[in-house]
Amino acid sequence: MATRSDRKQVRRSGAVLHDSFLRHRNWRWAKIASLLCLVLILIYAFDNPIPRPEGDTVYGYTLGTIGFGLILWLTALGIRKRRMSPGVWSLKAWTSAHVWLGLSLVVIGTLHTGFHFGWNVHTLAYALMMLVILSGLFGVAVYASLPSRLSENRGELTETQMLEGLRAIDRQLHSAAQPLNARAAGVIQASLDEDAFGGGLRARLRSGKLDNATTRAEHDLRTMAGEIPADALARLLSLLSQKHGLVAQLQRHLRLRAILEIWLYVHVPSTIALIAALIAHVVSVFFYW
Amino acid sequence: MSFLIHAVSVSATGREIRRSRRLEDARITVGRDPASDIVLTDLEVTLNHAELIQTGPHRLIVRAVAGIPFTIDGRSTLESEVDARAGTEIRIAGFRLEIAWDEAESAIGVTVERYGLPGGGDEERDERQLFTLVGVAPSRRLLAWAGALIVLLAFVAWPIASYMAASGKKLTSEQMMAGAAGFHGDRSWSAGPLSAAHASLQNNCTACHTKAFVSVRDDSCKTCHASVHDHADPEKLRVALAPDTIGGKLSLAVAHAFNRPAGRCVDCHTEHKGQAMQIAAPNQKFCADCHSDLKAKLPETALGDTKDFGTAHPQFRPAILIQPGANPVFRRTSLDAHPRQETGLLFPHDLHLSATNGVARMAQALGQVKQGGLECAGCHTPDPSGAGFQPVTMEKDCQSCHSLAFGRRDGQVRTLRHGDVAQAIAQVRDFYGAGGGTSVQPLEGYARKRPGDFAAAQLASLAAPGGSTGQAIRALFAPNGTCADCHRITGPSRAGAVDYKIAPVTLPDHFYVNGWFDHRAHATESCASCHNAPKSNDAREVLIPGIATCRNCHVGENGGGIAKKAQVASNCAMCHVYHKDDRRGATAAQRQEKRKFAQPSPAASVRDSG
Repeated sequence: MATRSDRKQVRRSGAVLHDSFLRHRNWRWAKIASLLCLVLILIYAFDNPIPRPEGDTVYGYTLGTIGFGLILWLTALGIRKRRMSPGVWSLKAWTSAHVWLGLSLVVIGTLHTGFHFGWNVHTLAYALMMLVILSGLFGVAVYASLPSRLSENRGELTETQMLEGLRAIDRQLHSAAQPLNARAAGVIQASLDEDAFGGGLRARLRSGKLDNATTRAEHDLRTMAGEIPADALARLLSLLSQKHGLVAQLQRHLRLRAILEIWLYVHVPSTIALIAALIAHVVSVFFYW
Repeated sequence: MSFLIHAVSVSATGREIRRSRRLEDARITVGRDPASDIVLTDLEVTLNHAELIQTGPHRLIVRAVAGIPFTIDGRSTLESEVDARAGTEIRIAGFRLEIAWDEAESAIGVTVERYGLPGGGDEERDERQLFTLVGVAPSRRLLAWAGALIVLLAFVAWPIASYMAASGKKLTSEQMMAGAAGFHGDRSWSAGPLSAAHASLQNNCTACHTKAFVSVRDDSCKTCHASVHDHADPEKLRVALAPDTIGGKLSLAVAHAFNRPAGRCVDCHTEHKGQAMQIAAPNQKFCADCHSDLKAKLPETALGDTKDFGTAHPQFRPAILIQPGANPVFRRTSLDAHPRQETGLLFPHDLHLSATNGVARMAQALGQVKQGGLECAGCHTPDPSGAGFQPVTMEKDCQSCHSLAFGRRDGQVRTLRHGDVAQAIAQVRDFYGAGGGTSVQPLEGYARKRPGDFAAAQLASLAAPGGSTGQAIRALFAPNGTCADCHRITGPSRAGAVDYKIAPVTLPDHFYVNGWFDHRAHATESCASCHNAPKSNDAREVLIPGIATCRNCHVGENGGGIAKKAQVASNCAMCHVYHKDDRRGATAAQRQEKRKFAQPSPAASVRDSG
């Protein structure tokens, strides 16, 4: 009795705090997927097809049909998540099932192959499926670990506030730089011109020491101390230092967001390629029946 | 000499604000320096950037001071003369200076307006997408469509194009074996390498897959395998193959719905399972599917139910000779019935194989063996293939001991013709008649040692002191005479006649009609370990071993049964062929040819060890 109420308590508090989609409803989909895998592995172990287990046995065709249907359903998450209406299943339930049943495809797909691979469309479909699953695993992993780091880095700032802060500093830099000569003004202008969002995909994903027009401006301005009125220099250096900090924070933010997103650029296109490969796989089987 | 300066700015709400002031001067300065007449707050503008100098009532010169060019009506220059009435537009960094003659104020109007904002262009982008990878990474949609298109082109369109190009071309078996040139797109559809025998067809899918969406039919196989026989009467096959379980019926219905008729060659001979797969040595399950309860399905069958050699196989039923002669009659009889066969010959194996009796001593005296008695191989010569044995003949295998020499004249030994009673009688008559009673000496040396010489000596002793030809002939066929050593003799029909008859002899050369047995594979064994010849004292005994003897070493395909000596996994194909051969044609020699294809895997058999 005590245990039951304890469990209830845990569940209630979990629901109040945060119930990860992975452990949705006390790991419901993890249990269902594990049970499914276990049953399929047991059938595989006791099935003794002639001449060998592969996709073209009765069990092989069954696994293939289950797998294809599952893949199509898993792909439908892309449609479901765009529809705001909750429907019978919440998006969280749907995502939980997507992850756990998607993982069970490793077992379904591999048993379907009967552990036979080759340089052909069939193994291509298998490889694409594994690529989709691995990229999805990466996605689950970063969703489990990065959001906390993201919010830690962001502090109290929202993205809009970060953007506004950057613009405000830029405006101040611009006005503070007005008395500067052409050389010094050029250095500040370079900092103003630089797009914190620029540099392409590699810049987004790159980590390491910050080296940009703002840091260079900080450095260059100090070397020009003689050419710049002292009060303007002090103000500019203070502004550049603020901007430096904000840009670093923004770029950490962008990097984390990019990692949170980049796997989808593998996951989604390879899913579509996988469906194309599955169509080719099924067509080939029936074409050369 | 005056300028009218209009400074235009835009309020936060987007409202345009104009501030105008009049400068009574012929020369005004433009720059970032707050002391300039026109201040341009852009860091690209130098402190003292340019100046406007009025040269006439409506004319002025625009000149760059710091050597940084400005743009006037689209072209970049350091100095330009302008007519204010015609108007012009000067651009310096992010500012636009529009010059026009103001008739009402009688001054040169300069409208200063900012057209680019500092910190540039973020507002133009969607702020919501600014933090995402949209625009940074290639579009997911584009990647998806491109990937799908590439896959569909390479793995659907190309293979179908290859099929279209190749279909309709009927190849001969030689062309198929030669293989196809180039890489065919449909090769990417191959589910796995073909068996070694079909490896040359790897690039030639349409050799077997002749029609799209139609499963491989036997016609494709028969292009090359033209002489393969059916297993049994097709109608009986249909009855026997009909599934009796719900699962089997369901499976058949599904196969039928998907256009895969049952009973095709490929049902047993599965392809695309790798080079090492023995396509011609099907699993015993294929046989057991029907034969485990064939009697129930096909009551008229003479075959016993079987599903595993080690555990469920009926006793052998060799073809037992029941009537020797020119047209011998055989009947398949179970060895459990201890059948006896009348070959027409009197031949006790034990007598001939004894190591100590007179036969053994004679063999030693003749130098056939150094010690002990005769060996099986003394009479049984393997056939050229080694699988079976050549027929035993009097001339080759018996006569070296059982001599038919009966007399000597003019230094020549006379020998009776074997196998022709009338001829033998004529030979005796000729000898005595033409010789006019010439004395016949018993053959020297081995006299009375060999059965034949014994007979010849009898003949001679009867004939020499005035004995008649008739007596000699009667002695020949007498119960203790030469012929009766080995043959059953009938006659004469009346006293004094010589119409003797010898019972017909037929020595079967093989006993199994449908199964096969290869002696070579058993070379490690002695003959007597299977054939109980040393203890057989009656030629009518069948010395073919029963299944219990085989099971000393042979177990079922999956190890079923208990073997005392070895554990040789034995599937059906080790002894049987599926495809019905011409009955008498299924001899060891012809099976030799088949063995090449139906060899069970070496690991499961001792066949190759010999």
